Amino acid sequence: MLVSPLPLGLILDQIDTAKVEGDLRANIDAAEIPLHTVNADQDVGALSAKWAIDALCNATKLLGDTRRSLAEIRTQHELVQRNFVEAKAWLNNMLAPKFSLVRAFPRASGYVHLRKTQTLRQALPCSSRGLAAIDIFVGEVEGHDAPRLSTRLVRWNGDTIAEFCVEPFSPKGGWLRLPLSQAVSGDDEDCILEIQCRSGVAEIWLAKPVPFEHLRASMADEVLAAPLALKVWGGLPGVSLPRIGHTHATLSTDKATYLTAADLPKPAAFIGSVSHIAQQGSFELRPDIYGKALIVLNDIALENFCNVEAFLQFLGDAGAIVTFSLTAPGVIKSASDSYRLPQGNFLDETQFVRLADHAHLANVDIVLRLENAHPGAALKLWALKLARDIT
Amino acid sequence: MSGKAEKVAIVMPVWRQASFADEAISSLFSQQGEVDWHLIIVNDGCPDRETGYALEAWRLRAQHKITVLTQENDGLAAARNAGIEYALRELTVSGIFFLDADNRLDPTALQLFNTLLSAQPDHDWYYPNFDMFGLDESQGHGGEWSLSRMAISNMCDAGSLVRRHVFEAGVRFAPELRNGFEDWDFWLSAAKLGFCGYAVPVAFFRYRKRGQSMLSAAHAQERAVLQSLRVRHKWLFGKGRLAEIYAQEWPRFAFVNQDGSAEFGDFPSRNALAAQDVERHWFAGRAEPFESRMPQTWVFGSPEAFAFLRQAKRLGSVLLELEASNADGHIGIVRCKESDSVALEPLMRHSDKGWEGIADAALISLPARHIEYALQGQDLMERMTRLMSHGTISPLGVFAPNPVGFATQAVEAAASFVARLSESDYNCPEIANASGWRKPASIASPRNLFTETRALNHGGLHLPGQIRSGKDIGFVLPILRFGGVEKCVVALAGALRSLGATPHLFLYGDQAAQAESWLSASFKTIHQITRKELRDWSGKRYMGTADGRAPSHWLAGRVFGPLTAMDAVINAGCGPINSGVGDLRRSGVKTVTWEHLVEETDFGRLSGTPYLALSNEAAYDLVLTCSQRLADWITGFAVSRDKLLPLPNGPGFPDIRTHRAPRDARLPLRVGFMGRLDRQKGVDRFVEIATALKGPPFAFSLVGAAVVEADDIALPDWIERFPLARTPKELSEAYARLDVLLMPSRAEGLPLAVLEAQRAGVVPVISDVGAVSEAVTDGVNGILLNPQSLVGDGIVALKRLAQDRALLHQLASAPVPEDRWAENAAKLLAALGLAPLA
Repeated sequence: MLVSPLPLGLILDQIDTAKVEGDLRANIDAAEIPLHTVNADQDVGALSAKWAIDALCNATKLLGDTRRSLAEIRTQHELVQRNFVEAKAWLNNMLAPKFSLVRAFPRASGYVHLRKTQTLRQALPCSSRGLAAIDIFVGEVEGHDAPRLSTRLVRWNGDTIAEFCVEPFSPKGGWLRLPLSQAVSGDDEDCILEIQCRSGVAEIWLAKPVPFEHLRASMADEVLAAPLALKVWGGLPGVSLPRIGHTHATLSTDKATYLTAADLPKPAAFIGSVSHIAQQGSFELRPDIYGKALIVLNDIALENFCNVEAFLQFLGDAGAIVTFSLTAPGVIKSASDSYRLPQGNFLDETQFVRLADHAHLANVDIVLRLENAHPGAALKLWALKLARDIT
Repeated sequence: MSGKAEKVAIVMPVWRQASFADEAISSLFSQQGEVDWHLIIVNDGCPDRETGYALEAWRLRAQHKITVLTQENDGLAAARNAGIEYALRELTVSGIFFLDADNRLDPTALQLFNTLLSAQPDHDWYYPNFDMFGLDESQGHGGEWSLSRMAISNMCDAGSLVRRHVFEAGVRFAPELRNGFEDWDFWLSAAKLGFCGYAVPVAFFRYRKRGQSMLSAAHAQERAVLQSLRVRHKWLFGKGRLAEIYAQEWPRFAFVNQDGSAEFGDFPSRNALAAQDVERHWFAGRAEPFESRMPQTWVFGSPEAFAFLRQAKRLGSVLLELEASNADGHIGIVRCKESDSVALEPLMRHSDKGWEGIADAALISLPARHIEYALQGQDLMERMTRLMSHGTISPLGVFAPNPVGFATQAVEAAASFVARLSESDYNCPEIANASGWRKPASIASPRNLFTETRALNHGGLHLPGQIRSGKDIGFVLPILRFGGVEKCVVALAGALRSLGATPHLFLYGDQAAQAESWLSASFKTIHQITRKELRDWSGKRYMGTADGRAPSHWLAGRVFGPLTAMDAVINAGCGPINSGVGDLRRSGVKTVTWEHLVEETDFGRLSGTPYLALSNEAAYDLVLTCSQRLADWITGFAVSRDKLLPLPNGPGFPDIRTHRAPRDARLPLRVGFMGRLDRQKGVDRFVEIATALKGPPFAFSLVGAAVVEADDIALPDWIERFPLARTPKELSEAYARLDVLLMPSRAEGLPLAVLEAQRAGVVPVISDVGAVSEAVTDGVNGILLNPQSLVGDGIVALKRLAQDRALLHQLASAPVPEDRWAENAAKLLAALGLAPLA
């Protein structure tokens, strides 16, 4: 075997060439070292120079390839870093699914019929990065076949960014969630929702009009009066989401579903205050001046005997006592009913925590209580995990 | 997309960023679709050996696609220029894109370039929104192209696609700008030639943002660099040009009618937007501030109110005041009051939050943000309360003849407009969801743009409706009555107008202006501010004469902003102006002071505005004098003769001489005094002479009133008094009542009264002070009196004229003095460079 430094080539006369044989010859060939037999009148110098230039070109080309690969690796590395930074804050700290309402256009009175082969386009007022699902308000049209839709997220030139899964929807009409298998990763990009009707006729509802044409839905060349009624949901870029929202299917031991702030009713605050932070997808409790807060999420439909785990985050300089409890509907009707709740758990300053309880009824009230908190502290409720078995 | 791909050159300077350059070049090789490009890499003398190897390696990968130019290090601008020259010389490209070595192109960028070049043929360059990586951030630059916005904030990074013809017209990066903002300079240079950009509504490249970069270094020394940029682009930042462009691009006012329709612009123009379009504009502006060119000042009032103010030539001033009040966060209202003179006076501010207190307002103006705040209310009652709850009410009193009643139309229009907006379908919290996801860049909203533009224009914009003629000459007067200086200004303005110039009047003082149309007819616009602050002569003293005090910062914008729209500003005795004349001159406005006389104090010390001209001489391009004598006096104080332009007075109003038959010698000699009744005019001496000559051969009369100050001089009852002549007709009649005009003045310039008297066949008997002798030749066309023995000489002269009526007739029949105003106007225009010297 030959070792570096290798020659650029070998220039030999006929006698010497004949001597290069066996293992030596095999190794020279394996190292791609050119071997040239010369006559007396050949210009050995010119031949050497040509080999040198070829070798330099090959090395430079290799350098170019390597630099390109390195550039791509660096680009990917940046993306991974960015994704990781976002993911770490959520997954590593609390393992709750991030599913927040990015933008919403509530349903108004208008709608449009989307027929077979027709395509509806809606520019989104948000970046594609992190987009996890879109809800549209859709129904069937009487006297027509049930519609079959395909939906994509596309760029300005029609290139696909991601394809949504379309699940069967209620014939009467209702919000239809179009989830992505995983939230969109990559750079922030302007994006368009494209809905194509494969068969049947779909009734797709519009939102209130907006003052800009570029945000109104369009069909072929016709710009409609308003955008589609829609909700845009954000997750963690590149991360697939577990089942989100109420489910009609029976919970199995290995399948869970999550309820985020968007799926829960507005809590009633008996002590302190509560606010819904839609951009984060959380509820935030603030204690009163005595350091107490008590909120109730009324009448949540669950399954019998299901476990409910609350993903909480306590923000404050000193610790506080937090109680998470599922009660029968109406047990907590006022601040003075607080004594009915069990003892709470002490949480240290600023931390994520999961507290669990068990539902014995199909409908329950979810109660959160904060005690001994410094005024200015806050308790965030990020999500509820519903499962048969909590590990 | 269809058709052949347009060839685009990508120019990429590289200096010490070889690895980043790899990413930038890789992004070119990842382009999608049918694209045709050529990359010109300019190695700007990078000292790293790696750079040379890397670029050569890339070149060898695609020799037909990549050219590497190497030069001595000369900076980013020069490197880009080298790439441009190569592209123009060697390639047939439709456009050039500048890709900095540390940025990356999106995979569809070149595809998009093709689309832009074919779909947007009327634009010259295409700039994107920015999506940054490293320090992640997204910036939106959307909205229709606006040069004024570009002047305040650099919306276009060098990473833009520029059409070939822009370079063929000679636009290049300035190599001397090595501290950054060379791209800003490039775009402004292109705009100077009439080219304009197009905001691409997406991002097509990724901008690498790091903690420290050339841009952050540029921002660190932003103040100095911006200043140099503004000096380089005086065509944009000088002479009020930016404010003018701003007003062309962004309507300053919305004039809202009772039906909700509105007119956007400087004045109501009967070109109203329908109510639903106004609504759409309003809410579009709320969600995406630069998508809608929404005015900042919303004015409500009846057409009659606008017509009244327009007819009084004060609509511009009123709107300017309303705009300034709104900019300060106040609700502006206008109350019209009956008066025989015209004044725009601020009335007592108040913070009465009820509508009743302003129900009688002729006009109401509301800042856009007040209306925005009101719309957040739950019901109409709450909305109207919210509307009034911010800021104070800043009333402006417009005193003028014959105001009509405007009932409650303004309040009703405002209320119905707010009600209409509040009921709009767009008025819902979800409208916020229509906002783009990228943040606006340094200028966050049109309101910021408005504020910044005002700040750069001396704190105020120009008078609404002012359209430049190229020969706009502004006269600044502290007072407008039928007095000497004012008559000179009116006469010169009339003559300038007949030579094609456009005179404007700026009345900055504390007194009402005479309402006679003759006084204002020569002026295209009149801007009046009536405030005590503008008669504050307590500034610094120069050789004993106090200058006017600089207006407060708050008032300065209203005073100087409108002057920036002038080609030349002539200060005719307004002291507070002196403080800002230097800035005006530096911005490119020609500045002129017009001097009339050196006065005397009670103790005989010389004083007066000529001393202020000496004090502020460096800020004036030209010093006008009413006489050669005064010009000589000023020259004696070391002012260059080249800076002096004597404009000898002619009669102050047009008239013709009517032949006078000799009066019967048995009738008394009618001797009159005309002018301000003060010591300077010598009214005390007049009384002394009249008292000495009291008797049948003489009839003494006085025409005039105290104007500037009321000297305590007792006037005997037997001297007939006539009110101040307010019009040329009244003045002609006053001269017709006299045989002799007695002017025992202590100080004079070249008095118009003498010239007018001579024209009217009245013999001037006048103290030989100032430049009087330039108008009166003793014994030829009047009698000059020695100022040292004036009373005695005056008595002798009058006695002689009373006895020798032939002499009186001879003096009265002397040739009519020349009307020099046309000649003066021509000389002035030539001196200002606004017309060739005949």
